Amino acid sequence: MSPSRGLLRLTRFTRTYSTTTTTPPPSKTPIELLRVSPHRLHIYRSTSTNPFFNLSAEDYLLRHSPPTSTILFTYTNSPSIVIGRNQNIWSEVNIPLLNSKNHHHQHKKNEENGDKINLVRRRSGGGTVYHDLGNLCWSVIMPRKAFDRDFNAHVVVKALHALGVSTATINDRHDIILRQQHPKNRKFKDLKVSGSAYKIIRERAYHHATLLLNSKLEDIRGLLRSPLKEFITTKGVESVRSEVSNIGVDKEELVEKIEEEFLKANGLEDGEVVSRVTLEEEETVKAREYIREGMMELQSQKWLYSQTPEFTLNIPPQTPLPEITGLPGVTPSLPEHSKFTILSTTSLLQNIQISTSPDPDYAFLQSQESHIRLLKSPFRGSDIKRGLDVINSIPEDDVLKKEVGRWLEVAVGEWGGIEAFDRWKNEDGGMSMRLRAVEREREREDEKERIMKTKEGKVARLVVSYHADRKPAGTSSHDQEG
Amino acid sequence: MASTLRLVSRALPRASGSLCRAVAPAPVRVLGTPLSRRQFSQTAAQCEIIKRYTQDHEWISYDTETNIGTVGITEYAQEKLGEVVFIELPEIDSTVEADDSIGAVESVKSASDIMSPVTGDIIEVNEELNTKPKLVNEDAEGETGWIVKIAVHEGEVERLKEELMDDAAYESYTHE
Repeated sequence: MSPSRGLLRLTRFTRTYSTTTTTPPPSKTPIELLRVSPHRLHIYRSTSTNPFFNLSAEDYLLRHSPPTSTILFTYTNSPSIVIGRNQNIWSEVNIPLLNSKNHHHQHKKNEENGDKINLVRRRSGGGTVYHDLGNLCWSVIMPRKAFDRDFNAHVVVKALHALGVSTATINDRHDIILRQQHPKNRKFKDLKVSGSAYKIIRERAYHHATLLLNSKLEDIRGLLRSPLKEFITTKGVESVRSEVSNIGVDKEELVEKIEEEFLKANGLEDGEVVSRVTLEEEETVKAREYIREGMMELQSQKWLYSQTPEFTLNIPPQTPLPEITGLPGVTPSLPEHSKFTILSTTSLLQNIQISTSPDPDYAFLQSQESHIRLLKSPFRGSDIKRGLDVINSIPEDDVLKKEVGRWLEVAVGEWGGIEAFDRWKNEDGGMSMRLRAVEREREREDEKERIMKTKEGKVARLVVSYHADRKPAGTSSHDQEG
Repeated sequence: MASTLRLVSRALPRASGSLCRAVAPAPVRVLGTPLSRRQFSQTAAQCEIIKRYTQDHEWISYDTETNIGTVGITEYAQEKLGEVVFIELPEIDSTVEADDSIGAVESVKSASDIMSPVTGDIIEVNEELNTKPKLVNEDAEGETGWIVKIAVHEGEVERLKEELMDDAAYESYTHE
């Protein structure tokens, strides 16, 4: 064990501890101990504020922890808008405002709060939330059989009660709220302080949630109000808007309390050893290709944009478009008789009907041309603008080509993230871990089958099962991870 | 792959009738599948439907004649997940390995993966679920709540029969 790295510290809640615990070689980073850990309860903390790292480390813990273990993982992210897995960026997020804020941040990088606001799509379900350094993320990874939407929220509520936040309770949307009663009219008012989401896989599940401690709530203002929302009809999941509040307790103190309540709620026995691990981004990323690939995937355009469920953008005639950041005073509306409908699947335009002419025959022609010009374009500001510009049957001075095109360009915005991401390739262009695993599995199956067919089936079978547990020759050390 | 040929040859005798003969004769069904997929079963009157379950709570109902497996999530799973609000469906014509993720179900803020019970090609997805995801709650294992249809690769049939759970095994698995 390497105490300087703070790994596997024994819990202060245990009075005695077993001396038979195996001591891992000093070269191991904490994350590498996960698989071999004999313990039932684990407490992980991350020192990183990178949302892509923290979410990918969480995903690693979900998929690679021993099946009966229960893990509490706490982390804090730098400013980020985090949307749910099946949400639409353009109806949830005010892209022009986000872009303008990030543009300003570029020019005051080293000042306080000069961090870029990340746009993140997480792997779990639910709605959009805002994270910053005043927000604590907590996550409990557990066996699927133990999955319950409220159990762990109760653990956190107990910790809050212990710190004197007596109004904390859970509502029917499984969120933690502060329930306040008006002194005069005795009416209750709920303020949301924590939003939950869940992910379920084969034998494991997690419940993760935000907890607003002292977030800069004024920074969120407007960011989660999209100018496009009223024009978008989307499949998938729409956020439920709630009034939010900070709790105002000390983060360090709360984390300790939550950890204490977590151990109590999970029936920590006398003498039971708890594994306590602190994850550092640099060494963890170095040790785990799975986490590196997860971070790449989360930042890929394929995940951020193409994962968007099917939606329709429909701008009715004579409806002024709202003013957006960057285009002061521009609130154009389409003329009477015009039509503007775009269907997008995987963020590619599929069915386009745009016309401005009052003459039905000519409008039909415009509509047909718009479809041809824009079909398969990405749902991206510059592409939509360019597509509209080249529709010959719409006059150059038409409001659609001039103001509306420009408005859409800014409102939809450009795509961030990593353009090319191939889940079957690794950083160096070789086979990714995922692909290597598939290939290995195939080889193993082929080998098994070949040996089964030989006459010495019985002996051969033993040989196969012996080799199956061992590292195949010629593969790199990465192949053994996870 | 070299193994494909071997798998095909292994699958041939089985597909050509041993399963089908066990079932009482019934009228021939009109099939929408290409000839190549049914050429081995032309002689049989009707084939068996084999229903199996995975540990991830998917069901697969495999038609030995058409070689097509219909996949969905189980009644037990839908009840645990609660109201389904969205289903991510895979692309048609994609090839999936057994245990590959072929989509996800979102319900009450949780996303749960749907895994393919077998290796095969996705030939159809239930488009109805795009507009009515709740069909999965209402009819998880019935006519309307299925999620994808997979043309099961040859050689997978035995694995499906032997390794996945039948009704009784799944029943006891969920009541463990």
